[in-house]
Amino acid sequence: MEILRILISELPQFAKGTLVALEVLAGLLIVGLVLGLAIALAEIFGNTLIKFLATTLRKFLWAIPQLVLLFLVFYLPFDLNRMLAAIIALGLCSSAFQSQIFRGAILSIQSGQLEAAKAMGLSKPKIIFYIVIPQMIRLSIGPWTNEFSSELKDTSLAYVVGVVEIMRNAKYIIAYTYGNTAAVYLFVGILYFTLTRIGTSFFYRLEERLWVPGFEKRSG
Amino acid sequence: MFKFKKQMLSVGFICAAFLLSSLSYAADLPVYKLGIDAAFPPWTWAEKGEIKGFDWELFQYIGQVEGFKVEAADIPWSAIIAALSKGKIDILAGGLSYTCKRAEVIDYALPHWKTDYWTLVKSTSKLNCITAMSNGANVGAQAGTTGYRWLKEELKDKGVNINIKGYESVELGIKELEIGRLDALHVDSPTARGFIEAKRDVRYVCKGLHFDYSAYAVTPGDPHKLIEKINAGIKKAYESGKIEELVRKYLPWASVEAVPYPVDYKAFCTESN
Amino acid sequence: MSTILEVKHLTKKFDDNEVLKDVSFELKKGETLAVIGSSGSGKSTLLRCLNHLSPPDSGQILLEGVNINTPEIDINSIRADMGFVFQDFNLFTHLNILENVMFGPLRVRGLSKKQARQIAAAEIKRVGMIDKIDSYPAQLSGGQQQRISIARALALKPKLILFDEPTSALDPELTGEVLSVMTALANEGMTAIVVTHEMGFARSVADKVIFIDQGLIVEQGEPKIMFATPRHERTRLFLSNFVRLE
Repeated sequence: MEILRILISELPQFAKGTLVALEVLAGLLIVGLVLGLAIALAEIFGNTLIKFLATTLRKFLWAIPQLVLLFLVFYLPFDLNRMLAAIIALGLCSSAFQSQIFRGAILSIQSGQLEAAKAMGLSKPKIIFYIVIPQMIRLSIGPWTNEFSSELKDTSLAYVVGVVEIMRNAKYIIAYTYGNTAAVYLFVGILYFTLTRIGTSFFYRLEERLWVPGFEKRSG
Repeated sequence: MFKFKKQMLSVGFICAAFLLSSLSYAADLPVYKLGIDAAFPPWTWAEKGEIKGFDWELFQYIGQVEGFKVEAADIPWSAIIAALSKGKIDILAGGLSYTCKRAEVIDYALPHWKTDYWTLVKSTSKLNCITAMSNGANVGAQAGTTGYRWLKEELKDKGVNINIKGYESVELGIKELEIGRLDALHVDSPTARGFIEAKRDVRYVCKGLHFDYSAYAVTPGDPHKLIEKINAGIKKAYESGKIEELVRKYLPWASVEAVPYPVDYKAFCTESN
Repeated sequence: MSTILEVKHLTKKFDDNEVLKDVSFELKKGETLAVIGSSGSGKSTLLRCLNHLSPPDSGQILLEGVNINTPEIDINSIRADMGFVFQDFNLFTHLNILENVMFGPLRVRGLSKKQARQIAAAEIKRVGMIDKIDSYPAQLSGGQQQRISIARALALKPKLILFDEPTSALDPELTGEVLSVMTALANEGMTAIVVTHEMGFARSVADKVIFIDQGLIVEQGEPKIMFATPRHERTRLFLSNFVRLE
């Protein structure tokens, strides 16, 4: 089949596109993690004003479609690298979701443990660092893996601001061969499936390694 | 870079001199961001990691004779005009047709190509040029193109009974035509030829009902004074035979005309409005 | 013996509910004080006021002569000096037994890992749990967890320990191991305040008993005298419930 030959000849481009997609993914997950954690901590431990600001920000980011945020960030009136624009926009979206994951995990930590740490004379930041975060990590790996695979798929939106990732490469082939849509998208689908499986199995193994008796295991 | 140079100096004078001369050579030529949609053959497209196309190659030539360099920025068509008008790219090249409306937000060089429009039907269709675009026919066109506007302003608004369907890409329209959801698709001729040559299940029933001009465009206000250089470059390309070479390579069915076309855009727009 | 803790006119309100009304008492170094009273009498609140887990509304708490119920005091350093043992243990579930007990010396006292490990190992040994050093809290029985939580409090080298109903969450057959650890501590001269329903422990181990009812100290004194001849009707009524049970 002709299209198979073309797809094979374009494999190096797909490899490059995959790398770009993974860079966007890593970037957006980090942005989302840092901001999401900040939002979650602010919503739980902040004073009334900080709580209000964090909740408003989360609701705002939660409500905006990723495409809208992508164009919004891309058309900001200063020269922003397109990859960076995609990372920031998708990362902002992800932070709203990640904050909910972390918030849920933190709230499910037994409050008695926090009180015990407090009674030992530990300051609030130290309680967060030594008790809250380590337990939160274990409790959030499961839902975070879901967010990881959903964000992996969402990197396919980055092409709209000119990031040449997997989808954009697919569109190139469809354009210059004047067709083959089904075959090309099937190939792309298989590519995303493979990436998702590799990624999730990595996180399952991580969860396995971090597991200690008394914590529920979600994967398996 | 300064630190790098210093290190080189310590290695040896000759090396440093060589580096400095190569640096100053590169610094002489300004580099502009050339926005293209790399999924738009035959004008600009990416194949096996390489950018190709009539407009891409012509622009390389223009840069060469007018003394500047371009680096390609691939931006999907839906965002490309906004990207130019906001200054995210300096130049837009690649099958961009001139419209008076677009001219309000971006600045155009003189046209270097004339594109006529074709009407496609399914291969087995019995429709002809007239029945394909009347009697309540469903006619598709890529949204935002001159073809779409022509269907609306010259047919529908003037009382011809058609339903116009806008598509985000021509590929989608072709698909709808093949499965019978559309009666006809109105599309620019280079694209139409591409689909016919790719043996898609379509044929044309009309040619040349109207045409539009393709031209390069720059950021509004032309901050880098590029329009004159582009116009001059196109002229040199025609005179040197570069245009003929590119037409043979990318648009072998087309005839070579003297470009740039000396169009008075102001008059053009008052006429058509 | 010197006075280590002196509480003067302590009051605490939750909304309009006066939980502590003018509570005063003192405690000498090495003494074990048992606080008894029915549920809701305010005895747990008293304990939580002492280390500001629930800050008191007014009154003085003098720790070695220094009033700690003022805003200027660094409450965290005070808390580190007052060990606290909770009813439901509250061990850190993500840390193993050694790490739980090391936590105070390492993160609160800022000692080196090596020093913290030495202290922790000694305290774990003291509560008889050295064979469980690598286990996690979820793998231990309630009684074992409570013993570790006592070791965790001891590892901070506190000036006194506050026990908040340490055996109430345990099955009856598990209370013994915890009480014997506490008895041993009392005999070694550890200063402690124990809020408890274990009248046997209060009578035989405590140096002093306080009976609280409706936020007031009704009666305080030596356990043998108070248990044998309560001066107040309410004390007598309260104690009679236990006598019947025992």
